Amino acid sequence: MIWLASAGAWWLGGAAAVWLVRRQWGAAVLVSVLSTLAGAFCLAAAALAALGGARELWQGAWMLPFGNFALRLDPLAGVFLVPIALIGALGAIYAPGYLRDGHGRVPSGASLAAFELLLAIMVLVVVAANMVLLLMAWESMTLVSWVLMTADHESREVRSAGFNYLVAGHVSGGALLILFVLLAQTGTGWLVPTAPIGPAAALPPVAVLVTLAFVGFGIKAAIAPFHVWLPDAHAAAPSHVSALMSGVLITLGFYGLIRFVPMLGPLSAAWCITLTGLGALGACGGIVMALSQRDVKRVLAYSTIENAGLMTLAIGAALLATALGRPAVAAIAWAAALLHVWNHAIAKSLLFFSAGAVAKAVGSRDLERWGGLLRRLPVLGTAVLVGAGAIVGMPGTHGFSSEWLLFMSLIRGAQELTGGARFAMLLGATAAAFTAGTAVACFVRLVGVGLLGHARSGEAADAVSPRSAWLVIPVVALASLTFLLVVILRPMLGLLAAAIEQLTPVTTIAPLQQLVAPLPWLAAALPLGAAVIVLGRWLPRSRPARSGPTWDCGYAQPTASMQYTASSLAQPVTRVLQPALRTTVRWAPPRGLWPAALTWEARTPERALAELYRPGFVRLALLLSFFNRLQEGQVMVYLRYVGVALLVLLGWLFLPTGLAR
Amino acid sequence: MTAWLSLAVLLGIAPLLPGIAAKTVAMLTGRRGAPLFQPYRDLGRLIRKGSVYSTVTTWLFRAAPAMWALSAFAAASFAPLDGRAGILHFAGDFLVFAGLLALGRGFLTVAALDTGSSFEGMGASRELMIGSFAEPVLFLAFLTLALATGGLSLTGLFGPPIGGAWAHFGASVAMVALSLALLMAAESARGPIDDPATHLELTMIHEVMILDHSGPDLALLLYGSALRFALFAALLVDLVWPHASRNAGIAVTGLVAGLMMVAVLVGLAEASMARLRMVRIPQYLLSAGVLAALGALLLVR
Repeated sequence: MIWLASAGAWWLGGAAAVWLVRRQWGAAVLVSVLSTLAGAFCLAAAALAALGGARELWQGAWMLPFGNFALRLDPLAGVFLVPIALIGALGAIYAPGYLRDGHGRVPSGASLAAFELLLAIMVLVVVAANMVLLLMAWESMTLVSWVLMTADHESREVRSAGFNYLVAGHVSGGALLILFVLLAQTGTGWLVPTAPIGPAAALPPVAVLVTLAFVGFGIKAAIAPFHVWLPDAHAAAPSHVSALMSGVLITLGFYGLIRFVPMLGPLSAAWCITLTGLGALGACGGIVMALSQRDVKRVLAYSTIENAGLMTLAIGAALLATALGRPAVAAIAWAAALLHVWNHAIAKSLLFFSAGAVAKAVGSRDLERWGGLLRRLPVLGTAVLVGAGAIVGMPGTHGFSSEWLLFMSLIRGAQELTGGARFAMLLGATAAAFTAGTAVACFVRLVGVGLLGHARSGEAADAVSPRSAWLVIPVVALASLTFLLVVILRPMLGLLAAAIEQLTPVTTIAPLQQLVAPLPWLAAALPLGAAVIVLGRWLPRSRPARSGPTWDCGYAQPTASMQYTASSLAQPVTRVLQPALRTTVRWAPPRGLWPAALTWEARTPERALAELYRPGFVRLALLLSFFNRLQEGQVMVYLRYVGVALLVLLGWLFLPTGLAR
Repeated sequence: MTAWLSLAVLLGIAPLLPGIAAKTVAMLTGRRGAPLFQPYRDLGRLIRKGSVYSTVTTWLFRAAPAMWALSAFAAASFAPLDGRAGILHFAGDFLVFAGLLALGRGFLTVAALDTGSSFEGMGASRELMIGSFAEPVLFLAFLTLALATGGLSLTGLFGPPIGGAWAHFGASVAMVALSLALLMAAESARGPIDDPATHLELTMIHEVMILDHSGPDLALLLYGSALRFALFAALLVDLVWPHASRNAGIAVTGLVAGLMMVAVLVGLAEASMARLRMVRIPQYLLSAGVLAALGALLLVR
């Protein structure tokens, strides 16, 4: 607990100090980086202690009437603290370079302060053991990340994305408020439950509680269909904030789900299957949407929805296997879910860091304006490539191990379970397979169109590597982790052991360790592949290699505009899925004998937002517009309201007790 | 021992299979066709040549041929080629198998886009679409076999337990076999998905992606494609004609005979029907998926 407290102190103190010196950029950067690194170090120590199996509950009095101020550190919390420490530290190193580059004007240090504050609040969300404290941290997390996200608030899109984010965040907070108040009725008080609550008379049916938990945590976790806030928000935010939100913040939604849902009483198989289905929907829908986006950061954002779907799938499978008495399968699924939290945090932050820096260098996030960038920005380009490989789950990168565990849990589940549960496992595995195949398409498109070929715009042709070392350090660190983590897969699972044992009735994860034993050998693929490539280059050849223009079937002067575009590359898939995607095409066909200009533009809007939520909220607004009449704007009227309220209360007080009740 | 021998035989015989398929097509369409061993001659000629690299390309373009061949080779080491066991086998190795094939596809398509050529972009686009819809079919086939045999590795799915699976869940295994046969055409760029003999770039898939490669690079690509074809054919042989034997001679003869049979059948299919229109390919893969899914559904109880 002392490490945790010092981490909090470093980050809160750091945020305050940065705020004080926000006008002096140099000082703000220095304070922010040093204090964030110190805090991350302390937090990592705390997390490692917790992962080692230490369980601590610290309680103290506070001024609020809801129980005690309570913090808890246990293995499950440790799992979610690790990404906060890692991505937080790297994000703080990245931020100065990213905020500084580009516009030329010196940015304010306030954003650095808010970033550090957000880190501290995220830690509080994980360790809060009092439900009211958790709710306060949850809401503050929404507000502070909203401040960070809307840094570019001059733009209308950013403001609209921010508004959506706030609405989603408050719906989530509202659902949790109801859930927590209901849970507090069980008699255990305001402490976050650590054992399944019994069937208490005061409680509504389990279905209500589970629905509330799904909505409340699912919105933050971007589980379909609660994901609608995410694509706009991640695209709008500065890249280091996108990385933190995408890699770490959404996983806190899963943390809540894992912490609360198993505690809500005996979970029926139907609920677990529902969760599995939502996961499959999110994974397939997310990756198909990612494939049809042009904005690089939206591609990454939808890929986050896909990965959130995979995590949901793993959690659903774990709960299902637990409910049906298959702890061995559940252990594999939990390992997949928790490892995927780490893997996704690393791969997605790597992508946001590197692609964000590339976007800054090109001055556009539009894939159709990139191109030829691997030559011009070799370090960042290679980092995007590595991140793409990891997020797709290519063998040889760490992303493969968690997807492998997910498939193994689903297949073992299908083998061991029967009936509807077996069907659900099969469906989940098939959906995950479609996701894996389409993810390859999606990220080959990102790399192939964005980084390779001819430059697609003048800006891309003139892009220069950012000179700031701040940008490069986190990118290189994460890219090397991508390969390192394959080698140390077994120690990593060892770190997760206590958390897995906390979640399942298994007493040892030795079978799991045995299962993954062959996987670290895949790391050999990298040096082997590199050796083959190098050998292939140096092998003596009878005739030397020559350079020339691209062979375009005899046409000697291919230009950038003749290349396949990002939209056309994805078109064979999007055309098949048109009934689901509803891509709208606007195009002005050529007219007349001498057609001059013609335009063709395809957009794939977010259907859930446009067809489900927007009409729903519009109707809700109409319904509630009645209350607008109460708001007269005249002091006299408000005084009248106060008087009426007072009279009603007095009347209620003096009525006979029997009548009042 | 037989496993190593079978792998060596597979590596050696792989280029012969496209030759057999082409010869079959030629004979059925009333031509004499190229000699059976023409693919070997092509490979030998290409290896002796120099290479031309486009000035647009990066190191990815040069790495792709090696990765394409290497990924197929690595995947082959997991397959029970002799009908008994792969050289490497562990629970979940079929996921590594699928991952390696996806890795090869990723490198090939990235290299195609690296050239900045519109034709190669077109090929990559089609290949990625096939990958997107073929992946679930492959997994459904594996899943159904996992349910039927109770195995968790390629050796378990396609090895000796397959005999028992035929006895108990014959209908399911037959559907998987058919589904894998359909999938083989898509994964190894054979008819009716792709036309290896076409000369029009607009109708190609695989061939158009490798337009810019030359010399030893092209040789590696051609060899890798042949190996992929042989690999899927070998899995099909394992499934349809369990030929496990302690006698190395019998096992290897079974493998070779089976592979040749598959090549002849592929030639037969290519000679008897035209390449499908591009819009039909997803439907084709969907029907393969439905077959495998039906096989799995029969096992849901």
